[in-house]
Amino acid sequence: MSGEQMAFHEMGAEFPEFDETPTELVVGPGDAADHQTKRWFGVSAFALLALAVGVFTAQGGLLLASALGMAFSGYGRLTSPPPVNLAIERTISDARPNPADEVTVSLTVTNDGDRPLPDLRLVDGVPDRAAVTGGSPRIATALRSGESTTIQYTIAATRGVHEFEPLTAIVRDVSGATERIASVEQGDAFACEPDLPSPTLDVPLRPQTTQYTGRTPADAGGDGVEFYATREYRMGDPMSRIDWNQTAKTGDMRTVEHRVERSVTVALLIDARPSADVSPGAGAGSTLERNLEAAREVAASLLAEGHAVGLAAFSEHDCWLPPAASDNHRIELRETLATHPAFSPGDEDADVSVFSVAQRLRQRLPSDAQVILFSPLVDDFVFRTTVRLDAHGHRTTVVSPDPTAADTSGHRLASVERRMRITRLRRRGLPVADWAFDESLAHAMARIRGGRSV
Amino acid sequence: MSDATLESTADSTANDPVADDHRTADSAATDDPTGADHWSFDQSPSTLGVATTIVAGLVAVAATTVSAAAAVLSLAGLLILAVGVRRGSNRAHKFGTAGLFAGVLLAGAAGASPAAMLVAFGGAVVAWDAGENAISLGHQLGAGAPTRRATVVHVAATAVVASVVGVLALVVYDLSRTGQPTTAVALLLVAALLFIWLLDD
Repeated sequence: MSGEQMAFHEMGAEFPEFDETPTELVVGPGDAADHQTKRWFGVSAFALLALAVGVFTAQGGLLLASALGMAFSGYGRLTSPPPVNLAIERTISDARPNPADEVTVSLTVTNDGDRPLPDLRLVDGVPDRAAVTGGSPRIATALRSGESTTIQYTIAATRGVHEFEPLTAIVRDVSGATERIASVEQGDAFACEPDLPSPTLDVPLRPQTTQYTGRTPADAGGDGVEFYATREYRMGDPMSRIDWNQTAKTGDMRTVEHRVERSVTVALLIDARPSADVSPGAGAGSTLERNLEAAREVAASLLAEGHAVGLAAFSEHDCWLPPAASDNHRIELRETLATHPAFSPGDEDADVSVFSVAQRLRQRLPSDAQVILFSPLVDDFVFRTTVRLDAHGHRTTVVSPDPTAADTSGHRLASVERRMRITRLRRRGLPVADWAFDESLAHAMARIRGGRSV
Repeated sequence: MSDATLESTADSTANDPVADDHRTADSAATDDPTGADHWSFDQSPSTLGVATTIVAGLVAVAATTVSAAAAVLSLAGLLILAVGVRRGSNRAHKFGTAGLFAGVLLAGAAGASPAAMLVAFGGAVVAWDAGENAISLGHQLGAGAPTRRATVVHVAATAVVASVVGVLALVVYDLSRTGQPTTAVALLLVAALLFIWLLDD
C-alpha cells in the first residue's frame, strides 16, 4: 500500500519527435510530457476547403459550415490540459500469496487538483511475468475535482518476486488536442514463495558417503541399526555388542557390527539458462519451473533424511548456497529457490558459461559431495560438464524434465538427440530420471531405483 | 544446436500491458481476430464509441439529402468510417471521414440550406471526433477497459461546441440577411481578429 502524489509540470517545447500513435511513446518514470495530437488539423483543412468551394459557388451554407470548422480548429487550440494532481493508492490483497492464488489489486486514483480532468487514461504497470485473470488494469474516465475512481483486477500468482512497473497516466484536454503522459513509480511488489513440499520422495543417491551420521546406508560396519557383520572381539568393544550366542557356540568372543548410516552432502545444480527454458507446448509450463519444482521436492526429502543440501545454478547470476542441513538452511533454501535472480527469466542472449559455473562449483564443494543436476539436457555443454563433474568424484544424478515435442521433424530430431545424451550418460554410470511432462516426479525417480535406468 | 527447434516459453510469460501495446500497436493486429492467441491484446474500440460515431454520421447524412449524389457519397463515407472504427483501423477511418466531408461539401455546392449545412458539417465533425477518440482509447487501453465515462464526456463536449457555434453562426447569418448589417459586420470583424490570433499562435 502506498500513496503518492503525482504532479505534472509544464515543460519546454523540446520534446522528442513523436509518432502518430501515442502508444509508441516512451517516457521515463517521473517524466511528464505534453504532446500535440494534431487531431483537429484535418477539420481545419476541410473548413478552408469549404470556404473556397463556398466562395466559388456563392453558397452561404458552405461559408457557414466553414465558420463552424474554423471554430473547431480554435476549440482544439484554446483548450489545454488542466494542471494535474493525482493521488494514487494501490492495494494488493496478499503480499505473500501461494502459487496459483489469485491476487486482487485495487488502484484508487483521486483527482486532488482544483479543476476537473475531462479525459484521464490509466494503465497500471502489471508485473512483467504476471497474467491478469480478471478485470482490467486500465481505465479511461473523467474525474471532477476531489472525485476518485477505483479499478480492480486479479493476477494469478506465479513463483518469484513480482514488482509493479510504473503506472502510466495519460491526460487529455477536453478537445483531445493536447495529451500529457506521465509514468509514476510506486515500488509495490508481491512475492510468491512456494513452500518445500512434505518429504515423500525417495531420492536415489549414489552409494558414496561422508563420515557424518545420516540415513544413507554405507558399505561399512560400525554404529547403526541394521545388522552388518560379526567380527572378532577386540579389547574395548562394549558388552552389549558382544554376540553371546556365537560366543557360547564357538567359545570365541564375537562382536556384532551394525551397518553405518551416513549423511551425504548434495549440491542441487539447476540449469537456469534461458536457452534451456523450453517447453513442449503452450500448456505444458516452463522447464525452469519444472526444474525448480523437482529441486524443491528433492531438497525437502533430502533434508528430512538429514543430508546436507546446497544449491547452485547455471545462470548469468552467481547462485550458491553452501550445503547445510539446519532448519534455518531449509528456509534459506526455500527462499533462494523462489526468489533468486538466477531463476527469473533472464536475457535470452546472455552468454552463460556452463564450464566456469561447474568449475566454481568444484572449488566450493567438498571433494566427496554428490551433485543432483536438474536440466532438460537440450545441449551438449551440460552433457559434457556433467560427465566431467562425475569424473572428478562428484557422483552425479540427473533429473531431466523432458521438454521435447513430436509434432515436427525438427522437434523429433531434438527429442532423439536428447535421448542419445541420456543413453550416453547412463552408459557412463550416471543415473538419469527422464521426467515426462505428464508424469509425477516420484514415478520418474522410482524408475532409477528400479535399476532399469542405471 | 537442438534447442533452436524447441519453443521458448519466455515470450509467452511476458504479459506487461504496456509492452503488449507496443507490440501490437499496428492496426493490422486487430484486423485478424482468428489469429489472436491467448496472450494477444484486443485493441478494438468500445461499442459505445462505434455507436456514437454512427449516430452522428447518420445525422450528417440526413442533412445532405438535398442532392442524391451528395447523400450517396456521404453514406458511403460513413460506412467506411464505421467499419474503420469498429476494426480500429486509422486508415479506413480517415478515408471514411474524407468521403463523409466530400458528401457534405457536395451538398453545400448543390445548394443546401445554411441550417442543413451546419447540421451536416457539425454531424460529420462529431462522427469523426467520436471515431478517432474510440480508436485511440482502443489502442491505448484495449477492449477490456471501462471507457464509458471518458467517451460520453468527450463526445458530449464536442457536440455542445458544435451546437453552440452552429446556433451562433445561424443567428449571425440571419442578422446579416434581415437588415442589421452593422451587427453582422462587427461580429465578422471579431471573427477575423480571432482567426488572425489563431493563425498567429
